[in-house]
Amino acid sequence: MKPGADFSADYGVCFPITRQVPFLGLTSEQMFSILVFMTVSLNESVSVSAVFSSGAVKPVWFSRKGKQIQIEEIALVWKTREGSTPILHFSVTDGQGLYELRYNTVTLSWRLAACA
Amino acid sequence: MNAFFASVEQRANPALRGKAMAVIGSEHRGVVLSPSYEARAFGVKTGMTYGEAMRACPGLRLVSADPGKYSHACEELIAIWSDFSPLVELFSIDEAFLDVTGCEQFFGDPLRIAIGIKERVWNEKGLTCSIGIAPNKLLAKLGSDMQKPDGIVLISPGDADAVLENLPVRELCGIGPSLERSLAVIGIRTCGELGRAPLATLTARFGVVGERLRDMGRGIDDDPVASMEMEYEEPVKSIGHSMTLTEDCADIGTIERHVLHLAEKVGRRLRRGSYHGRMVSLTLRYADFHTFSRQRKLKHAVNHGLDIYAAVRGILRELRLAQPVRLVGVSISSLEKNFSQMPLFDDERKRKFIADAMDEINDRYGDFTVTWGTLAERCHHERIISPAWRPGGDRQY
Repeated sequence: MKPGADFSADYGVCFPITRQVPFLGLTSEQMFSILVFMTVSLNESVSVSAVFSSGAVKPVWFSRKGKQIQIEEIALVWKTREGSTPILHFSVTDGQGLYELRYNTVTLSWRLAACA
Repeated sequence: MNAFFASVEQRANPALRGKAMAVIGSEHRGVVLSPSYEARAFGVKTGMTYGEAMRACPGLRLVSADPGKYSHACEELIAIWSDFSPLVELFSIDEAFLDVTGCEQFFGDPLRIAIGIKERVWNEKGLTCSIGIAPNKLLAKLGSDMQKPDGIVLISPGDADAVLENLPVRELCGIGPSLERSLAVIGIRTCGELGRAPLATLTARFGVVGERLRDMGRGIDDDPVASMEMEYEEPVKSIGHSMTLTEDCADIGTIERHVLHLAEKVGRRLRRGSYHGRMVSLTLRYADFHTFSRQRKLKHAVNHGLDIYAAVRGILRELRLAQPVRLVGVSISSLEKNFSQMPLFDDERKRKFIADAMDEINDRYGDFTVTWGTLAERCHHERIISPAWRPGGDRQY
């Protein structure tokens, strides 16, 4: 970690906020900026196997870096828009990690938006 | 809704359920927007900086706000509420009023309706809510705040006086710290005292609002529940946007860039609603939270972001900033609907053509897909829920 490193909005490491002195060249205020955010932002194209039924779509598994990840639970589904395009978001877990899948309902493509 | 943002994030991430966690606004400003009830047990409160929150609860997990989740959750909740009453007024992204007059024949008395709502919200969304049942919105809101989380409070007409007698005035929706102090100056600290205060005293101090305040102290509120459809029928008085900067800024050039961004957003909403406006306003908030506005009336009604920007920039350049700025706001009022004036000159026609083309592209692909080069860094603040947000998108005009 370089002093004064600029961390992205969704990436960081948690330090116990107990010290008030500069550490690794960072002020205590900057230290407070280094946190565990539960997700790392991504934007990877992924292959997803999903079931379309009763007007709903449910991802079943997806492959990433040559590995098939079986979805154990779809924790939350929500919809947003990019312009006029509805985007479905799925917060899913394989029992170990948490992933956010995004489905573009116009291009019919899936992306892995985040993981933790 | 109870700890709405935090609860939605806990639904989205099973690892957070039952844990002390909080949703924060941004990694830069890091103000706690919504702590879970587990975090509140450690003293974590909305409005704390995340430094303060981490000191109160060292094991606290923090999540950046994701407005898309909360907006969608709100839409789903509105769908549930609408099943119980056709009159649903969205008060905020996590609060609503329902007028259940006449709905008893379908769902039972208001208490049964409230229980039915809570059951559906929990069973279908895994969220909890607190409900206040009362003869009017003022008392219903008060009731909903009295028992959190997961409560139901019934305030019948005969109970209102007893509930309000010793209640601090600050507990009433619409009375904030400033008004509380002003009332304390004239010896009013409780709702009972407010309700008994002479009207002449209140109007002398607060003008026409004085009578409204006295009514509030008595638990009187005649404001009906206005459904969203009714809201759309009201004429729009002004359109504006503001943003809290990621860090306090004293550089005029940077502030102007934010002004351009806001002016573009305002212009888009004006054009979408077929409005033009003549009175532009710049609002600034300093680092010490001192907030002020300056206005300028234009010779001609405008709806183009650049025209709004030019006017607001003119205001900004006349100011001498006393401190770095933490919030910038741009708004326009004195609106005219369906103002139609064909551009007379070639450059005006070209500008309109470009604006229309940009609107078409941005409507299709998302705001600021096409924008001015100055805004190429995309400071469009995705993590903000606009006050104009309504289910299905911004307020329709």
